[in-house]
Amino acid sequence: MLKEKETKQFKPQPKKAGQDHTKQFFQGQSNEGSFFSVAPTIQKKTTPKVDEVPEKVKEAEKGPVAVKGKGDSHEMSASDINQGSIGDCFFLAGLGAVAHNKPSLLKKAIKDNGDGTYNVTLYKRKGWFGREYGPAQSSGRFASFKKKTVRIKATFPKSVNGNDTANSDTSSMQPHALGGDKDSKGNAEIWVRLVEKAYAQMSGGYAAIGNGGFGESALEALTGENYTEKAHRNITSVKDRLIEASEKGEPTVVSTKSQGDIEKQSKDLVKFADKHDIVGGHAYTLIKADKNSIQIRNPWGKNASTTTPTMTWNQFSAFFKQTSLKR
Amino acid sequence: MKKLLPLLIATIFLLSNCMIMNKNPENNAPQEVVDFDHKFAGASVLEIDGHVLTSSGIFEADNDGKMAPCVKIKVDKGDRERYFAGDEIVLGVEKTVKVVQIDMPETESGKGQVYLKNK
Repeated sequence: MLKEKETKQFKPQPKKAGQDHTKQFFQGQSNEGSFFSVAPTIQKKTTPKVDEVPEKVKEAEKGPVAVKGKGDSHEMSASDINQGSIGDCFFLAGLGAVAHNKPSLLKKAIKDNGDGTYNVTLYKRKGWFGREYGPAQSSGRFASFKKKTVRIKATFPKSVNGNDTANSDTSSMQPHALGGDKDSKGNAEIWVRLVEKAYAQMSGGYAAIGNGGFGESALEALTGENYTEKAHRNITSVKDRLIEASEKGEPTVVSTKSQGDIEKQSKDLVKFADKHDIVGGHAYTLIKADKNSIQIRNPWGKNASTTTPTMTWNQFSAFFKQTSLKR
Repeated sequence: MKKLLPLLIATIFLLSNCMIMNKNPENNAPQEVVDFDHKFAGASVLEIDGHVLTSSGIFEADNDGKMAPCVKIKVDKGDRERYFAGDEIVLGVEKTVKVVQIDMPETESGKGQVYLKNK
């Protein structure tokens, strides 16, 4: 599930006189008037940490960190990602983008401490009082990042009798991403859930990441590099930039319009979207783009009707409205 | 004056936090319903008794002449169908769930939560 955000510029823009980004930030509005979330910062103080979930609704995992599955080019592959019932598609699509293009980054990020705990290294924007203080790109500045190592146990919230554990007193008890490849003993690898949990821990809990977000935030946390959200006002420039990102191997996330806007498309387009699980308010990993077509990956993974649909640029522009690109 | 400076900074910091809290859209989110068995986000995946439900984003659609929150759900890779609150989803011969509430925050489209109750 994706939070809406209209943005931004590719190139740093000088700050306009009298432009008060701080005020816009407090008001929950970007400089273009659309919704802009401040939730991750807020919820850090109000949401229970993920390790505060009672043990009875958690499931200890004994699986290996990563297993190279059939057809995978690396043991940490985008194909390992299968979203659960929380709305963190923006993060899992970003994780898939990094796994697809820079799997070694993820391998370096996870350290097994040998005592049932793992250290996962992510990145956090440096800012005023340690906050992610507004979008740096709005003022034309680049953010700098600091490493944040999160120590976590390999325990994850689970479904109870098939029910979503969100039906409880603690909103952070929601099922995590589903399992990926299995080892010879049948144990599922845990790297996706480890990184997801570490990101949740850093952000304030599963609830803090489970109600939408921006691919930009996920990619910055995973790579320590500056990202921006590019609104698709001119599909030609977006197309060129996506082809460039694909050729350079830059982890990239693309995000759909609202479901209401997708429903307004022609009958054939709606049929295509329904068939291939192109749904509104969702984030997808860029797999490949060339002058004729674009291929993306749905973070639903094995549960999507088409996990990696390919579409023409006309179809893409009918469904997608923004891209999280490296700056 | 120098002694008061840290106090002043602390006060401004605390006040700014309060301002952020008041503007947090989460604080204005609809109240969760009490009686439900399953909950999942728009554009996410939920497994119920081995059946996989995938949800579209949440949007407003015409429900018998009245606009209401709607979600398109696909069960086990079948056809994606529209559901409104009150509709039932047949998962199999022995399993049916009812959509008891669909939350669609006013400020956002394509988001929110879907609540289901076992029948």
